[in-house]
Amino acid sequence: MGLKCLLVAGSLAMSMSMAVDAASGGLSCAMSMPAVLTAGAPAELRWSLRNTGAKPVSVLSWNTPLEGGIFAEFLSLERDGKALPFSGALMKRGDPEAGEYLRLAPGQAEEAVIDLGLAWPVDAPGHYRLRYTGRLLDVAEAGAALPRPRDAWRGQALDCPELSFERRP
Amino acid sequence: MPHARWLSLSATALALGLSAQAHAAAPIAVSLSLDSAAAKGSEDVYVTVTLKNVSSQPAKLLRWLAPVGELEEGIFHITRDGKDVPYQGAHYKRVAPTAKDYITIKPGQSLTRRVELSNAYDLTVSGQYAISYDVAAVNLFGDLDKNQAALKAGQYQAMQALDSQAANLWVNGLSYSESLIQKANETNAVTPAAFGISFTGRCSSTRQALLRDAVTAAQNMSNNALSYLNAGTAGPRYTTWFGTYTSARYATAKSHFTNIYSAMSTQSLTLDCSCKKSGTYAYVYPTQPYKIYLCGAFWNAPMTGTDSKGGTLVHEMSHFNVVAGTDDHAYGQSSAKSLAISSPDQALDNADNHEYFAENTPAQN
Repeated sequence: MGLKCLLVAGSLAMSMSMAVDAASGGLSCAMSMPAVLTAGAPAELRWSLRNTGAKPVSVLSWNTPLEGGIFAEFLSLERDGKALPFSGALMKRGDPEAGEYLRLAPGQAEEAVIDLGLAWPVDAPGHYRLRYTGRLLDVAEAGAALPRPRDAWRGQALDCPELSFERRP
Repeated sequence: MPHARWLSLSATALALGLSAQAHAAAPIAVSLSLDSAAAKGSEDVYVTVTLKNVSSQPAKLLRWLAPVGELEEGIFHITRDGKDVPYQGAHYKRVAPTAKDYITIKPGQSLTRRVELSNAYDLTVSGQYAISYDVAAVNLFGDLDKNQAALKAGQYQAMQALDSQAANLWVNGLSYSESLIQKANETNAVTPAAFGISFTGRCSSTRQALLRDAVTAAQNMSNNALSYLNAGTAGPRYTTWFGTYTSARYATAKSHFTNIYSAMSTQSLTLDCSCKKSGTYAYVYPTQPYKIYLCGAFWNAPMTGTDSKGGTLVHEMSHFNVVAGTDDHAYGQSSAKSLAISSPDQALDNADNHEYFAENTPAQN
């Protein structure tokens, strides 16, 4: 069984050498990782989503690490300029359940840590670039009736500026 | 469970010298009953288990050895004509139990649950079966503080055991040799790389039958899609799901469906029932052909038509890198239609577009 593990970010000591934010429609995305990984060290990406708007929003967790693992190809990775193949899970989605939405109060953030090695070959030494290429499938304002079916989703692009890291031999 | 039973006896023997109450009377009495004393080998078999607290205090029982839901361990001891029938269900790696890992039954009260056996034990072979509940574990009854104190004092922790009388079941099903042949076909142990279906993740007999029908439906749909493309048709059915015609894109669609139909009808498929996500139909790992995990929404889907069982298998098959290597760029019919208009190249890389083309519902030419 290949369910990917999620580490709910707690007190992981990380050198927060790269942290980038980008606002997109009241939601901002941040990614961080150590800038240098020694051989064998897990490639753990910390990913967070913050409500920067003035009203609460509900976000469908699919297509993001907040779902609890890598259940979609929401990142694009390169090693030394070459795209890396994805080997995580690809899911056929139906209509979501209420529990699959995350409610974010104004200013509130949710974050998760994923081990990139579970879905991309990140063990080899080299210079890696990483971009979030997912799209939020459904973003609802307070008061919207949730869950709602696929055809009623209001998707939204989410900019997470790329980051890079080195894997040492 | 015979091994666990042996372990229980030997551990109890070890503990005897150190603990005066190594094997106190169990606070819970367990009884089993079957829906019927006879079964056909093809049907699901359930046992009804009643746990009664026969002590004067609240009784606790370790949840994952309690017969209260889907089996998480081989907690039944089953024999067929006197020979052990092995447990084939899940095994979990556990951490030490804490107080929340126990169910509690009040004094004098009973708890009754129906538990499926046929998804975790092979009950398809003809014979006389004896089924009993039989577990043993340190901490079975939740004396966590006492056990912790014993551990600190350097003493052995006593094993605690609980079992029931056997319930008898006569199965009039397959002969043993037929069963072996069926298993060989299912696992393709005999003829690798030939078409076959095997099951993992505890698919019930009912679900196994649904999955066999779903594979047939997926073969029919993908064959129909391939015939359409082989004929060179580029009608509304093609343009709705794959956008404006170009010969290069049409060739891509044709090669995708050549591979989908071929894999669906000639490869060894493994279908897994362990996923419970109710808003998800199914998933695969694209680098691991041909294993498909079916999730909650799959079981409510129709056999054919939009978002059907057959179509879901086509969708998943298209994901494997060795088949068509598709991605999930858009979900659902309306998004898939939009994608075909805005980006035909992405539509040809989107699994739902392949599924809807194959399902062709409502039908277009």
